[in-house]
Amino acid sequence: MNDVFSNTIKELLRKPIRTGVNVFGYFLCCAFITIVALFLRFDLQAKDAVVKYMGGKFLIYSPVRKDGAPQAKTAKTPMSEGFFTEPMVNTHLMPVSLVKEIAAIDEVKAVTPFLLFRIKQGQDGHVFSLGGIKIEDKYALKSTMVSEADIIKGVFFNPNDRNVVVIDKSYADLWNLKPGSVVNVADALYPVIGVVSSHARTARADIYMNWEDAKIAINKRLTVPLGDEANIFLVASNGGEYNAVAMKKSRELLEGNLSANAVNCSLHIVDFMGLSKDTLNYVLMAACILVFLFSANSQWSLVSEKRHEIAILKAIGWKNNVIFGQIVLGSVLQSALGGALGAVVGVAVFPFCAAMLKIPFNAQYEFLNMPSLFAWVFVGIVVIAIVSALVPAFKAVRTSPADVLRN
Amino acid sequence: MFVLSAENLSKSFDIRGNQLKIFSDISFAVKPGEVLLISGRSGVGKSTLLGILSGLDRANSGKIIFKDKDLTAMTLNELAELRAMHIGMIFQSFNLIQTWTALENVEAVLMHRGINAAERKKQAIAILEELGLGDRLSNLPAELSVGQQQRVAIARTMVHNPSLILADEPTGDVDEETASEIMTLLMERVKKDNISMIAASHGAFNKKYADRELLLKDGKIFDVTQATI
Ligand SMILES: Nc1ncnc2c1ncn2[C@@H]1O[C@H](COP(=O)(O)OP(=O)(O)OP(=O)(O)O)[C@@H](O)[C@H]1O
Ligand SMILES: [Mg+2]
Repeated sequence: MNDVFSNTIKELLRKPIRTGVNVFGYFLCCAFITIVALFLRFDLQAKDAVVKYMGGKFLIYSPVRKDGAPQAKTAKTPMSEGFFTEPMVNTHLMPVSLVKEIAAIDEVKAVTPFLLFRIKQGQDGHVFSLGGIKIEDKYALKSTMVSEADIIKGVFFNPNDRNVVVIDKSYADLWNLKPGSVVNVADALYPVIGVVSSHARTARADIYMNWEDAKIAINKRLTVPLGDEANIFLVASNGGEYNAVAMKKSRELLEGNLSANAVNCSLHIVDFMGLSKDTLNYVLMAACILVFLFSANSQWSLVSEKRHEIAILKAIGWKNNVIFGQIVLGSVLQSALGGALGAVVGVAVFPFCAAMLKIPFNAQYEFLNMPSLFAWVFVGIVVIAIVSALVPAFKAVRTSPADVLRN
Repeated sequence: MFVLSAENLSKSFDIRGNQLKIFSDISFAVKPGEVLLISGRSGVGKSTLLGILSGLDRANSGKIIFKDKDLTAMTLNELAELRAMHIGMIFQSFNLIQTWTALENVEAVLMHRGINAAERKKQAIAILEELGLGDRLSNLPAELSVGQQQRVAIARTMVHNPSLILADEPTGDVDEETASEIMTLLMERVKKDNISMIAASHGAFNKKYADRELLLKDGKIFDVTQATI
């Protein structure tokens, strides 16, 4: 064993350029993999933070009634108008009184009703969404949808404000609106008092109104006027870990007359953010395959070159396992050296890469568990090197020395 | 008592489905200290036979008894061990490892046998010095003359005190003078240590060194010793 080790080292040093190139190859691959792995970790941590931030929220709506009854209160022009932002999604109206029952669930922190209605603008016919909110449910609104904190221009509703609207930034940008502009909702004009940012939230609308104003506006478009009803409940639970229970209990509560859907919005939002985990995994996988090919190729050509030498060594009595061991060990030593250097340099270079790609690399994310990252990359590269050396090593062992040496 | 005896050896190669018969049912034996020459035209299978005797290749049938052990029943590892301990091989084109120094080439035979590095070196240097290469230890084969290379090859063959030497055209690549120089060195040690040798040659090997000559012809082997005397 000792001889195998010292011989392997000797062989590697005998061809310093070749060995250097191999080590450099492993080094590059490993540095690349380290950087990609860091991006992956960073990305996951960022998403994690979002999920945590969004975590304890969900919305409840009822896509179908248990008794199969159709939507009782439909829009006069059901193709372009109706409850919810998408024509494909039907949300039945639910009594606002359910809010109290949902609020009584232990795991629920706050709940507020929401009227979300798709409405056609009278003049140019574009469709936008109108959201009716209960301004007094300050806490529930703040944690699930919009509040003073989201204002980027103008002001948010005061409890007593009537006949004014706050609009979403994306809608404001689209129609070039700002505080002081006027919007037309169901053939009435409303001054815009504020613009809220369009960041990820549990639910959103283009135009927000005070509950009573929204009811009046929506009623103008309905065949039968609204009672004390809402089509969505926005719920904040006691935290991400209570979400599932809170969702389950809320649904059970509603099952009596309506079949409820509770949707955890944060998970979906994460899907749309940044690099997907899958993408990075594929890149990592591709990198690993490249390392494998690189390694297999270099070992293969080494063995091909050394065919004659291997035959001689067999002829003088070297056993197959010694020859096998030297080839695999050579691969291991080169990959270990290149891998270790690559991992270190990858970590050192990562902040610069992040800066170059304008990724807000934030040290506050504790995304680096250095020892485990090093261990993974290092062990990974060595394992790849071992596996990739197996076939060439088998080839070396199987080489018939009699054939090679028969002059 | 024989060092090695071959009984009814047959060998054929399968070349894309066709059986190429090299030899069949050949038998012979070599005594301690005996030098056996296997002669025959190019392509009759001399190298193939030596390959089988050394355990680098397998016969299709027959037995090879080396010191009471049946080679044909041994595993590859056991055969390697046998070569490492008891058999020395020498080839026409020397087959030195070109990237290794003279000393490393010789030392290689003693490796992986639990002999420590210092001892290995000592033994290898001793035999190289004996063969007049004491000042060429760290030369690569390419830096040595053909005769010197062949002496390194002899040192490699001898360093582990084998009881049998298998020589395939040991003098095939050198001029007559060098050949006789090499053979003198080789025979000196063979005689001194009572080593058996089986040499294969299609002509370059001087028959005066051989105790017996076997002719390989048409897949059979004939003892032609009497005929040459
Ligand atoms: N692995 C193999 N596959 C197919 N044929 C082979 C193989 N090895 C040897 N042969 C054939 O066996 C025959 C004998 O070859 P071998 O090298 O033993 O001859 P030789 O007597 O040593 O010749 P030379 O004097 O030229 O060295 C040749 O015809 C060769 O083509
Ligand atoms: Mg031959």
